[in-house]
Amino acid sequence: MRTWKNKQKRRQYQTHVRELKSTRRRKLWIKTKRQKLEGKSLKQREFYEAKRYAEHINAPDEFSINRNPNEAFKFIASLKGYKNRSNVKAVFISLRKCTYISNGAIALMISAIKELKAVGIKVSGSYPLDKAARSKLEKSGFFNFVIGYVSEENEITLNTIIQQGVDVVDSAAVAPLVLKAMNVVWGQPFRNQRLQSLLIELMANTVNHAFTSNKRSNWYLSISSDQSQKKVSFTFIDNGLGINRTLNVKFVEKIKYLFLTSEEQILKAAFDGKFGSRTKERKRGRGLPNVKKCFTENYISNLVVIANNVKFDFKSDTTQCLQYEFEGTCYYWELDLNCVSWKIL
Amino acid sequence: MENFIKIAKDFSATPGARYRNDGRFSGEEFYETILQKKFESALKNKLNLTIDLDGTYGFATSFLNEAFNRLAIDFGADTVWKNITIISSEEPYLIEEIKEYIYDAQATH
Repeated sequence: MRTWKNKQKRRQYQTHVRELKSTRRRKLWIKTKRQKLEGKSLKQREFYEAKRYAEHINAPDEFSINRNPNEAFKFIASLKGYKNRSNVKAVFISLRKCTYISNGAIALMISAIKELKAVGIKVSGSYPLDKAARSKLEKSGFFNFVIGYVSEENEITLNTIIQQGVDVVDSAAVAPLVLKAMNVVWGQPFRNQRLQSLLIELMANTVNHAFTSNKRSNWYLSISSDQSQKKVSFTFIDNGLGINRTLNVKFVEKIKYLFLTSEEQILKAAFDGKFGSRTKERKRGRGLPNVKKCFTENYISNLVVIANNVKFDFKSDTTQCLQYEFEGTCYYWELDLNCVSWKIL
Repeated sequence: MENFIKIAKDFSATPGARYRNDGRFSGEEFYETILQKKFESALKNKLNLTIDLDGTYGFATSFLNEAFNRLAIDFGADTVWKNITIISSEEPYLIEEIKEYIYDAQATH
């Protein structure tokens, strides 16, 4: 009997000690945390708080639309998925393990971040540990959209990301960018009517077709220059419905294209001008064929279009079905010395 | 000159898209503020209207389609084509495209 009582007392004592230890540990943890935050700015404090309570998501190691589309779009789909979860108030994007990051992917990430912010979700993140990837992120123009530190050496850059909203085709905003791109490739700021025309077509498509009437249109244009190779890469992104969901496909065509062939062939057919415009007016729906014409006539190179779950590479004339659907359309192309030169100042 | 339009100088060097709602310097704006009036006046004075497309940063098809399609709807495709001269030495293919837009208006209306 006595032994039993002793045992019970011992157990009670042990529980008490455990609780004391745990309380002490907790107090110590709070103290250290306070000390850690002492002297930090309000922004940094907010960052630590946000990180603590946020949903964590890791960007792919090779974050590129071209090199690693499946992983890139899986990440973007997961990121955008948070906006449908009512319990998520903050998201923390970890780019630490990124060893390669492309400007197109950065623009894509910005568009997703903007969508999350629009529904009140706070977004924060970490820099890549890889120096080259970090430098690319800093140079990309990403920090014009989010708050973050940009080292002095990366402050001056030819790369840029512009975002236009809402519901506007801004031809004047893209004209200087075309001149800059021509300057990188040809050494002088020549005009390039085809490139300008292509950009207006894409903006007009976004404003007129990519969105439903209750969703406002936004587009993002990312431009990155490689001066050593005299090459400029463009990425144009809209977060609309995607080409395949916005085509004016007649009933007979629907049977032919939707039941007998794949999404990939529908996208190809859209660029061949086989479907009319969603406005259903004659001689409309020339935007996409014009984009293709720009490529076939060699005014741009390496054109790649990703719409919904299809990636269409114009250079190899191949399509690839992606594992994850991208809500919207993404165009990537390059301007280099092999393109038709426009030497009009 | 009364019967001459240089889009880059008289309207904008950065023409936009189709409708005013799309943004600044649209085809609709160009038609309503310049093209319609100048064409009307040229017709009245029995002059040929010259439209110079050179010197801009580039045209979207929707801009040209809206402006010239509406011109043809209002004045008739043949009347328009006979009374305009288009200069486009930088992008010569645009002349043929504009002709298509003009005669397409006749086919639709």
